[in-house]
Amino acid sequence: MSRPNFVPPVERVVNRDVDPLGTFDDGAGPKFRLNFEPEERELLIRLLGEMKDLLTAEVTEVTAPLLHRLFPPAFRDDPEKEAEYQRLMREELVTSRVVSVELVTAMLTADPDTGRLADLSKPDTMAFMQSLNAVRLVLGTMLDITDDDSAEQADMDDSHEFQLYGYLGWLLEWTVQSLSETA
Amino acid sequence: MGGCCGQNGDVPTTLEPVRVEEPDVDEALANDKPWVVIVWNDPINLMSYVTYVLKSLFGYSDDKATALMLDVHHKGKAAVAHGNREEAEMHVFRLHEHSLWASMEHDV
Repeated sequence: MSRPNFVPPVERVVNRDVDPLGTFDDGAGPKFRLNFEPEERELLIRLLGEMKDLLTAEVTEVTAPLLHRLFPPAFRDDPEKEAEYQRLMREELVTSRVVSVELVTAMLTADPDTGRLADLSKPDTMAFMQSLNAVRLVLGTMLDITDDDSAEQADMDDSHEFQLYGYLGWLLEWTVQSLSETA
Repeated sequence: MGGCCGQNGDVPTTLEPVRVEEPDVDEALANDKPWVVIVWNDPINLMSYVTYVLKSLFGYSDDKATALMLDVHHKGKAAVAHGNREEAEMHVFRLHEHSLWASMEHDV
């Protein structure tokens, strides 16, 4: 994932008069509506695309810590079992993440006729949460947020990258709360 | 059943192949020992997110999921599930899908 140069709409986000994620019930169960500005959608789609590339990227000095975080070891003290787990599960985990990224990218793409996003089901919204979290995890790893102290410092850093990290966290928190409030 | 040293058809047997199988039996017994699935603390995943994932993957109550999340946060790790190797691997896989820092080890 490249260093983002986008200025996240944090100030506007804080003052926005519409929730980023609205919840309603159409009689057939809970539905979720993403209330995003076009630039927010474009930002998220770009970040998702970069993560998708990363999922199958070669291991280099830059990608290694990010891939390690996306594909952590299942067996910490048993290299043999770990190799077997990676052999059996790694590809499946890549596929699962790619499918989720593609699904969420489609959710964030407006209908060309109406210019609007489709309303989401609960499983859709869970996929959104999962991919949003993965993007934030990669960004946080890039920003060297490796312990609780650096996490606290990140809250105070107002560079663009940390603002973006804060924005993703804010959006994720909204998503988790919205999901938690539905049965 | 392992891939080697199994049925021998009409090849005359000696005692040795039987001995060769013995470690496989030990291995199988070892794999039947219960496994525990651990979630480790990490400074990036939100507390609310971790709680929600534990609730939705394992069907835990709000209270139980919150208690486990707080254990992860304060003690550095928590045992979130138990099972045989296959079950534990599936739990770890699903936790990895949700980007939680999960691993498995033998229950003690």
